Amino acid sequence: MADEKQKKDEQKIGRTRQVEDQPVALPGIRRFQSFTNVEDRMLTKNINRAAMFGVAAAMGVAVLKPLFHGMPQTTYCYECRACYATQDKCPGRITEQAELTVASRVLDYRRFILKGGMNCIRCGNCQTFCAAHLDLPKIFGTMQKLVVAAIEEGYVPTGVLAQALAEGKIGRDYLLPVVKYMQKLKKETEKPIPEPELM
Amino acid sequence: MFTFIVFIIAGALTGLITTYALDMKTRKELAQGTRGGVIRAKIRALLGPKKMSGRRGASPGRASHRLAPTKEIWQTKNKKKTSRR
Amino acid sequence: MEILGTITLLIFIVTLVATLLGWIKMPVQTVLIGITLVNIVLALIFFGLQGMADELRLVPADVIGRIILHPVTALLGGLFMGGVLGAAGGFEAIKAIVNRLRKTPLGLAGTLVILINIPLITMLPCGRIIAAALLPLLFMFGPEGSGTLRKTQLIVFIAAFARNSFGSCGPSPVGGVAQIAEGTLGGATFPDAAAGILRGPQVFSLMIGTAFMALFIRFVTKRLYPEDTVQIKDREGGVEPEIKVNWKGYTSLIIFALALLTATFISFIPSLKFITVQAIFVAASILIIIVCRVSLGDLMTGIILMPATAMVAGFLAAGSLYPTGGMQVLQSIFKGLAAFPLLGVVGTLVILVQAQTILPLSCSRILTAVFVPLIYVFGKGVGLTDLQIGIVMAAYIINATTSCAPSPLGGAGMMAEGQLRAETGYLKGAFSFTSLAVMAPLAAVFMRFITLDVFARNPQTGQMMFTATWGHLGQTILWSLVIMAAAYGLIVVMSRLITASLGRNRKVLIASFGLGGVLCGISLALALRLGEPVAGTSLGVSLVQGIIGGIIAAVLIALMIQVSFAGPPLKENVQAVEG
Repeated sequence: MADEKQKKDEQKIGRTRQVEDQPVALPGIRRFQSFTNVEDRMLTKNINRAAMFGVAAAMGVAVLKPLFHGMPQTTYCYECRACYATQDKCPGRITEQAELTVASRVLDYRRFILKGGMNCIRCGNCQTFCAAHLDLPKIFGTMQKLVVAAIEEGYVPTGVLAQALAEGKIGRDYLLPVVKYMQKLKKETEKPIPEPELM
Repeated sequence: MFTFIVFIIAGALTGLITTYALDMKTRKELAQGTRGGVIRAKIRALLGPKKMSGRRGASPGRASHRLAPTKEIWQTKNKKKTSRR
Repeated sequence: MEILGTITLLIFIVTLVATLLGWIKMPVQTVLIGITLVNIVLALIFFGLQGMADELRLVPADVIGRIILHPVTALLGGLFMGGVLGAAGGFEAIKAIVNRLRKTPLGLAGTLVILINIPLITMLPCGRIIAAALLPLLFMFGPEGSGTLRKTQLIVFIAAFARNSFGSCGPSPVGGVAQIAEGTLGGATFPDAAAGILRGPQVFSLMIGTAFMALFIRFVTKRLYPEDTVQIKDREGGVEPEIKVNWKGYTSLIIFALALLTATFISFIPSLKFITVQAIFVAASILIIIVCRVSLGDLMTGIILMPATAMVAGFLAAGSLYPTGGMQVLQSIFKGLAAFPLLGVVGTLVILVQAQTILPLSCSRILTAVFVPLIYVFGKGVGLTDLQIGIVMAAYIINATTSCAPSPLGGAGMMAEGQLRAETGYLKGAFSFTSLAVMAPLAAVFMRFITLDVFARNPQTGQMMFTATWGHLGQTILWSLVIMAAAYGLIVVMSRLITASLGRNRKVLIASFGLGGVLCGISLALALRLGEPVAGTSLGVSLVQGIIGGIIAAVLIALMIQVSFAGPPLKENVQAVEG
């Protein structure tokens, strides 16, 4: 019985990672690799297939989402964050412009609001620093519009809005709709607005 | 200038080391490797001396203070293609 | 939130280490997607329990938003180019040209040195672009191809090229990783930082790091496998095979060279800045397909899905730490380290500088976006001057940008290992050692003595704050030589002490890396002394703190490196195959 098990183990290349009858392609280099014939790495093939599907789906969403929301430019962002150099030349006191671009790509309202996206006045100062020459004011403007729509639909968590209001992250242009929404919500649901979690 | 000098010295030295690591140990091969390293360093130094010096490029006030077409953005309502590409 | 963050961070790190050490025997993509799902489910449960149900909707967008598309598309663009070049005979054309160059004063050695450094010359925004396109070509210089290089030479050649490639994204002016730090540094003291304050230190240290990568791999490989007897002279009759190249090969090569030149210089033409490098390469690939009549099938054969999928899975797994607060916990850990008297500010800075090599992810941008603001705020908080923060940033950023190479999670180094048909991790030790002991200290030295002269201005007067002299030039050279000599010594000792015993190899590795960490700690502590104490500590204390920090960082790095490449069975294999 034990011999059979040993034989079985020997047949499985993956059990031992140093198989003497494996040819050596180059000095120090064995022919087999972790993802080819090291068999016991494959727990079940279906799990691996599901994982690959997950990877493909996530990529698909990351690429297609901005296309459907009118911000295809965001997919060209290098995420080099050269735009951080805007520094005090940003009248909206936004320090991490790239975060806004990425948030716009996937419609991450929380990230956009809390990084100060609603403070953007679309002056274009950050655009000068963009390595990919993206039309940042247009992207941020479009996203602001989507954020307002999302707030009105009740999609943005009230905690995020409360925190943004407390930190002054809602620009003058958007203060009114946000405050109105919060008041309406309070009246309708009598739901207490969570205390802002200051960073 | 100092950047250029350091690059050339580093280029020569690394060319020599790389050649040695590649198991090419004759005097001729080492000289060739050093020459290759110097050429590489020169190209690198010449490709971006102005950028490297940092005295040009993005400087304070270079940003154009133009205002983006706010109206246009609000009127597009996602129907208009926002990308230039 | 802290509890959830701690749990998710622990899950991430423990699973990562378990995969690295082979305890979890599954493909890395599966493991990473597993981490992502578990973290998201934990977030759902946590938010549900906390009555924050409305927060749940934004979690998927936050996680998917952490996928950085740029390196993925860069890799695919490079693979496209590599596929069509191979199919059109472009590689044969390069071989023919190299053969001709061998007869020039540059010779084979000079040509190889330039070939190794092509990524640094072109400085594309992701090293994967050029590596994916050229690695198959470089492999063909070996015994299985034209036979120009012997086996060991080929390994050294590819390893050095990989080191050069997977660090070249740092100094790139077209969306390089260092621009994160350059953007952050810009301000009163460094008003022109965005023009490339970190480019000089990076280019300098990458040049030297490449040479040391070659040295490391040479010594270790030669020590382990001395039976590399297949030489070019052993080929049939000593006659080299004639390389036949048709017009398609040369045409495809010309198109490739033009694409490369366009990608290199496009950053200097403002009106064309909006064209991405990937777009240039894909357009050039399509042009080659049309002109050289290459089939679409040939193009597809060039695409390797493994690194791309592992990279995306890595982004997702790291991304799952953001909404759950894991990244905030990671930041708090580093901030808390400075409270330990033995580590202090300098020790913590040394660990921060090495943070990304300790935890190498598939693309350095993931953590750089987190750590650059952290270092800046931390530095300001402990009273570092802008100049000192600049020096730390120079050391950090070269270490960060080169960290995709040793990453086992779809890191770029896996491409080189795959090309060599090596088991994952074969080159990791060398990648990590060069980052730890050679490149980070050298970048700090270059920044300290040379770059500050160009960039640092007095915020009040606008005058330069630091003027480099011939003396500073001499100091740069002297320091660099000392660092290089020490690193050389360590590599030689390490390779000599390697034996058949894995246990002993582990000890040798940890001891050598520890000394490398000491080197880094001393260099950084000394470079940070700009006529004033670092955060109020004396030189002696700074040095001790730097050394302790360096040792901790180095040991953490060494523990993550596989040492299984040594051992008698492999040696016997070599003899069996060659003898």
